[in-house]
Amino acid sequence: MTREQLIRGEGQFIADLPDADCRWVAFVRSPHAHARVLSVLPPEGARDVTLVTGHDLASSIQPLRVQAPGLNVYDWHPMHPERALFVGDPVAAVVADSPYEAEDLADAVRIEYEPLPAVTSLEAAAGNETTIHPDLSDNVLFKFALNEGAATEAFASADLVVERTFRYPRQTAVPLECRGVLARYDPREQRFTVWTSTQVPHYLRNGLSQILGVPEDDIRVIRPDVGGAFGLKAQLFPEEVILPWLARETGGALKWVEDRRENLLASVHAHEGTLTLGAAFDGDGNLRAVRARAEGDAGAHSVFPFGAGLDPFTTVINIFGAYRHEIAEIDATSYATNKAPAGSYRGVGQVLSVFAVERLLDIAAGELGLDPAEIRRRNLLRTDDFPHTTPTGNAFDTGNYQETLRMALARADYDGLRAEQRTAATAGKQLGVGVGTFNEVTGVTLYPGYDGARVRIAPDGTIQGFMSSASSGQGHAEVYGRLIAEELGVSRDRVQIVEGDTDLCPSGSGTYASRTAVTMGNTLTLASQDLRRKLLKVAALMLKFEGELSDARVERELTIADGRICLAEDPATGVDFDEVVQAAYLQTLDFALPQEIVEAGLEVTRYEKLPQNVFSNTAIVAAVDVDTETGHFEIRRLVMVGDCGRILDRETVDGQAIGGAAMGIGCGTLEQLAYDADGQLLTASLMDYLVPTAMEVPPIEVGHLETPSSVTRNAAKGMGESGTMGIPAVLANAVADALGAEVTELPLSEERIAGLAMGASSL
Amino acid sequence: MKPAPFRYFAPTSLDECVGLLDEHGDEAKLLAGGQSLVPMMNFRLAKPAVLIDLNGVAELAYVEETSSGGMRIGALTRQRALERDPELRRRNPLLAEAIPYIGHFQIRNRGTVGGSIAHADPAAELPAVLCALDGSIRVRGGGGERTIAAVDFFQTYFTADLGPDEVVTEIVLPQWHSGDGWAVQELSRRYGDFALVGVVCRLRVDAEGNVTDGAAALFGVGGAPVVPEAVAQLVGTRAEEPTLAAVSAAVAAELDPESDVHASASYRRHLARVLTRRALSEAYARTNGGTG
Amino acid sequence: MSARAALSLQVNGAAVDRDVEPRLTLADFLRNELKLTGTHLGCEHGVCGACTVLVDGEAVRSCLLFAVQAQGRSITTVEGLAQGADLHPLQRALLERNGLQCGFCTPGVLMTAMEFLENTSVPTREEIRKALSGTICRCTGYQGMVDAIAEIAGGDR
Repeated sequence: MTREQLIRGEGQFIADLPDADCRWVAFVRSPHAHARVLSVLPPEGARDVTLVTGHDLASSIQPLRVQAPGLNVYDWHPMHPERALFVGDPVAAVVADSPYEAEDLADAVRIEYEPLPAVTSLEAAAGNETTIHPDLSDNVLFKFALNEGAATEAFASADLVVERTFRYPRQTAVPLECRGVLARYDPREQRFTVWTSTQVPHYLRNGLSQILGVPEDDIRVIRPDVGGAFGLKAQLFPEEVILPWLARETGGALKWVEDRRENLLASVHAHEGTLTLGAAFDGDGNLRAVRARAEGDAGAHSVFPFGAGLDPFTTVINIFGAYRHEIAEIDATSYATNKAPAGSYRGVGQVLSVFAVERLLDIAAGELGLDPAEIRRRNLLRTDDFPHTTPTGNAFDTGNYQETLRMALARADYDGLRAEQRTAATAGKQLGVGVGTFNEVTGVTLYPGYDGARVRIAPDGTIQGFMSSASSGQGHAEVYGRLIAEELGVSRDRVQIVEGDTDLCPSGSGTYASRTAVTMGNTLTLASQDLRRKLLKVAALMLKFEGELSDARVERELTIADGRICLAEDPATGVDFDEVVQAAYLQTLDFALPQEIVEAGLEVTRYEKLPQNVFSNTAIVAAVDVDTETGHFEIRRLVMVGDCGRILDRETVDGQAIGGAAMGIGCGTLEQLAYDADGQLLTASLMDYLVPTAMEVPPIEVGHLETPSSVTRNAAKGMGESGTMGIPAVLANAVADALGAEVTELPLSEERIAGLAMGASSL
Repeated sequence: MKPAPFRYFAPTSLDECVGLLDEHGDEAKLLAGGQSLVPMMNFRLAKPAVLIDLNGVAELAYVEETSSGGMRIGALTRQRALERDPELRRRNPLLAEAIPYIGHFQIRNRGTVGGSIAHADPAAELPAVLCALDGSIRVRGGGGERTIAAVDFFQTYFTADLGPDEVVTEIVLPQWHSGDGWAVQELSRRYGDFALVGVVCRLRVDAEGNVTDGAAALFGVGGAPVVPEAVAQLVGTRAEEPTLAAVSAAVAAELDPESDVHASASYRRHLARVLTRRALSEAYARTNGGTG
Repeated sequence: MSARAALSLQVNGAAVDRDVEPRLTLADFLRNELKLTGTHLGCEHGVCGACTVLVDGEAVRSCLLFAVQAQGRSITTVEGLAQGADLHPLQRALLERNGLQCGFCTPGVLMTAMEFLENTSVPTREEIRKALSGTICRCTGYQGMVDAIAEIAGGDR
């Protein structure tokens, strides 16, 4: 839908799709964190109830084995046939005529459980007293290590070593629209159509094909309008398997719309983990070596497609990425626990690495007697360091990190804030200033990491772009449309964009990891340029060019703009875009078109994968006023300067920067999923899982630097997660600065801050 | 999150309502603004078999002056109606100041005075205001009408001195003494959330600026609002340090808060001390004898 | 009085008569019975504000009101804002000020702002933020919304 349709309330989100012939599914979910399911019986006295259990499902599907480097493989069932592994785990599904009646039925299903001991912490998982998956006796779902022992000598000979353990809370994305699935099965064509609120339709088709044991071509996945996702909708969920399977079993259309309680209990959680981070410096404060050990709480499952290593791997592989150093020794482990599975949420892994690195730099600066800005100036990569490869193997193409920092400091009047801090002191109020500089991994080339674009000009001149991406409300279609329009020299309104339909769109990765501008945009540029050259060649023939029509020649000798293709040297001579399109299709010409143009008409499909990930970078400065009695703080200034290469669309970039920053305020100050020792989720409503309102988000000042990427065709670098990953760190630095205390754990609740202000002992 | 089925009654008079309560008693729930009850029904934490909707009982929506200069506020009066009442700041500035702390304006558009009182949420503002101001609550049931002092009405978490056959009909507040100072201090995780801890208070001074009388109520610090005795220690003082610090510490010592996912008991006690001191200081400054 | 109840009300200016189950929320009535799916459900417990509609001009959470309680009332939903092809100025301002991304919270934001603008002249940004604080947006960081409302209200900045 266009933004205008959205603002009229005409969006077609999953819950809005026509459903007159649908029956409704509701799930019975485990009230226990870990239990054996002894029996499942329909409601007392109920007859003709469609009630399915994990046992029913297991008899006709293939369990999925999520595989990726470092993952320990086990059988994943959409509903486990024998056990419930977390509170909210689906144990049975029922079907009724309305969502109200479906819930009535689910309420009345009789299930007998035998509770089992629950593993609810990293410590308990590593302690290995209870095994969650029989194949994994040590509860380890993922393990990775690089450069073991490499930093030992550098640490031993360093002038200064600082090491701390940082903790990041369990969080979840809370897209305002929950998930939902509408599934149909056509018995004549033996084909599934699955509408689902997802970021990754092609992955889903692949996973469904494996589980249902049918070819991918027999499954069509369609993504309707998506009301936000932020990573949460980038995995295959049990309900996305159970609905189509059940549609085939019952022979009708089925719908399920997740409610908020289910969303908080049983979609995916993220971010929770610890990082023990050490850094070795020389006497001038130059970083020499780092050592990072991350442990992640993956919950009950390794989810498809990314698996349980996602957060901790991303944490350690990007450690200290923006800073010069020669040695990095890293390892990461993910443990299974009896909590909701961990998946993705904006800022994957880097929320923890940036928090820990930026805190550790401030701690080191304190030891060395350096200003926090100064220790960053000394260690940030410099322009002549690029291209640069980190000790963990990340390759950076271009960057001007020093300038980004300078701009942020200047805009925030950093020196003025420091001066005020030295002079103006009010009892009970402390001004704190925080700085953070980091880079952001985008366009991740794993799993499988490519994207596909098909650009087509129909005989009537309509231009369509079919994308493998599946935006979830970022407004990318606007950007795609403009990229195509620019390449083809037509107005934006002639271009239609189609996303998120596996029957219509080329295969590819989807929309996650801030990949849109870089991988999708790159592939789209490639396809659009190819199509433009086709047009130019037809025009060249119409303009009676003689000799060989090479790509270089037509690009050189012709221009394309404003719906017309003209001679570069004689703009008065040209042909209209529409004439060229008609000529290419109808071929009512006095010459023959070459085979390369006849083939596939005016249509180009290209797939591409970037040779490396692309890193944008950001500098943030925050000033906070801390009430040292209550622990409450107000954000006085929040300045973010980002460099995402060439900006393709300023409004989209600003929207991502500010929206990501608001989420960062949530992650840094409010958001925390809490389980009790029995594995009951204590934050299963939006009264208890707190996301920022307009009152918690102050004005955010955004600045830009544009250092073109040398890797992407459009010179852009991905962006969209910098605020989420950076702001918790910078606010923590600001609060620590105000209190002269160490912050090693989030969120920055009033209670935590008041405790730090009083030296922790009195609370 | 769809509510379970119920039988629905929409009485249009108090008599009819009381009759329905008499008939259905234990299995019935009264629906006023619905801003607390309906979420619980959507979560299916509440599954009343019978729902008696008070919203048609127009006779319960009023704000009147009592013969002694106080206020009677009908149970069905919307919080938003009070907030918009231009007279309220004069008639009872403490109540006027407390109302906007209740949720968000969309909540107050529906939320009622009686609903908030009957729900007896220990972190809510209105019960605390009533307790601090010696207010009372009038209820009606099969056994007739009763008036209960607010401090006796709120018993523990979501539990009040209200029988299953009774309905809150109005709250009564004594006359506001012009010249009294007041304050509302609360801290919540987000704007509009229930308070972690809140304090409402009122102070009166004599011509010399010495405190002659005062009261406070704290909320979010246990199962019901707490009216601390230690506030009386301010009488005869000018509410200056170190008296204020001593009194607020004594107030905090009277409390027995509990821990939950948002705050520990010890932090709540700490916060109660800090906010009590701020509230008393602010209230004193607002008295006609205060320095503010 | 138990099974279904007769319901007559005005929705976006048109008279509507239906029999409904008493437990049907106003939000589900609008969405499922009247197919006015612009009113969205984001939490069904009164926190997110996505389902906000105007009842006799007042912004309320339609997930916390039963349809039967709207008997005789006049409801305005997001579908009632634009006059045919012409967007309401507030809709136009939100578009121009980058005040939406995914569009899921937008109807609730619009209906909230409608009442706020009706009752507030020349608000400060702080007052606008307070008014918006009962509607959650996860995409925009709210800044574009505040800008748009300030523009329509002729408020500061």
